[in-house]
Amino acid sequence: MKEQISALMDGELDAEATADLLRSLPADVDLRCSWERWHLIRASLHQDLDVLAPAGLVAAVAERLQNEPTVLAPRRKPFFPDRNQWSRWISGAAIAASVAAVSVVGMRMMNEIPAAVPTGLLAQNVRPASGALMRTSDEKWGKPSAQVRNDLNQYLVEHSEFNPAARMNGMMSYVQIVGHDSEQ
Amino acid sequence: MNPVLRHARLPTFIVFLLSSSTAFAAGLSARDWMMSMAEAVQKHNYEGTFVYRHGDQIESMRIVHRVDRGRQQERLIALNGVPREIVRNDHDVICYLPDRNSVMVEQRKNIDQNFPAMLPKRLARVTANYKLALGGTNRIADRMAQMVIVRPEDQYRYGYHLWADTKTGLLLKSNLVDPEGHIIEQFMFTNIAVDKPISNKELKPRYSGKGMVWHRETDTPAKSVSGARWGASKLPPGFVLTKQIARQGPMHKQEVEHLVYSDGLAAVSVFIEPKDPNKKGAIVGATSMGAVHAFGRQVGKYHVTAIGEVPAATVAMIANSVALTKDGK
Repeated sequence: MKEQISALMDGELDAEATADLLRSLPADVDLRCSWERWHLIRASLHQDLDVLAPAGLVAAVAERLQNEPTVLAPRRKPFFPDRNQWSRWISGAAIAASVAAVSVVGMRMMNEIPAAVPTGLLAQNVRPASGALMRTSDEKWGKPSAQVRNDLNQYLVEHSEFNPAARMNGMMSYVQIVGHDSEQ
Repeated sequence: MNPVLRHARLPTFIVFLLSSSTAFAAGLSARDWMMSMAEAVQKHNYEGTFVYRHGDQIESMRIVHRVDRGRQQERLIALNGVPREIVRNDHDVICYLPDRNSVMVEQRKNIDQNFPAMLPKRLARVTANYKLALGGTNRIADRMAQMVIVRPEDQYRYGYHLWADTKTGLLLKSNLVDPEGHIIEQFMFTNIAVDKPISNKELKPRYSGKGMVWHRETDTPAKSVSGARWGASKLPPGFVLTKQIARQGPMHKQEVEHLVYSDGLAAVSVFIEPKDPNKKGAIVGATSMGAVHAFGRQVGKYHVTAIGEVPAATVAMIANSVALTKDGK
């Protein structure tokens, strides 16, 4: 089933299997947890999480989940813990809060699944992060001739000296000369 | 004591700890931090590795920076891709480009502007064209850093998010932000050692330049091209002419007039050179490389190119208004 979730998220599950999986998702707690975790992992891989959840949450949750794997089904604890247990209780509450936030993330994702999911659409479910690095049209002066590129690089060197922003940190704009155009 | 009350003190204590650790930096304004960043490179030795992200590319570079009796020396080494190095001192910028079998030597013409005394004047112009604000503190390269937000007032310049080392003021991270709020360039130290002695050896390039073609700028006195004077008649608000020189670039065969327009933080260079009939192609219209935009056009017997780390509209506006000024202004 978990492989199927992975396949679903990658848009590689056919329509029938998708429908089956989505039917069983709400009822199966285990499966739903996997589903949420997968989304969390994917979102963090895409550095997209701050759109959905507070920054630092993934790290905190991941760490705590590792240390306390039973957190999603916590043991019963005495209502008034003794002093030594108190700090553990606080951290437990923090974990619970984190998990609640993750659940909200999961729920939002669940809500975004339309009744009939066309194969391939789910993979695009993750929205682009605001402030994500914008892809500029061309990185190496586009396709001008070698002569034009040389001219531009030379101008850039001459310009760099007068770039006040570059002076803030030494030779930052020279970085462009070293870094850019280096694949030729 | 009731355990709830006993532990209620804990958060207060944590808040106190957090605030006291940043208290020494709390008194500084965003402007103070800008000043501190600009001064830091004139005061501190440092060496470290940083990453530079532009478009969908990421580069890693090493920098060695030494301040010796008020003089700065620097070495910049590309750690991935084609090996390239730049060595800079108060007089020269030397670019070692082994992939081109070339060494480019550029004489520095802007030494006066690097004097600390120029800083307050420059900062006054920055604050006239940008809004400065303090952000939060964050850990960068294992050091605490204060964020400063530099927001432009219009679409003609980029904004900056800067992170300054709280101990020394050194810039540890910067984001270049376009008018739509996209991050178009990022630079960040991943490790940095500050105030360590730096030997001559560490500043020496690994290339001797032997067997490479040296392009040296000829030492021509500053004068204007053909005795004529050029100027841009249309500039974005806040931009003024800050430099006007004639130069014989290391790779140019002809004399080039170089004008610099700046708002205190962003700068646009305009190069005017006589058209060379033997030259194959010249920049016509707009082109870009990451956050750097350029715009070229013909003006009579001359070719005009505007270039700078500014939005495309800015270089286009300036390049399109460049003309010979009859009265020599």
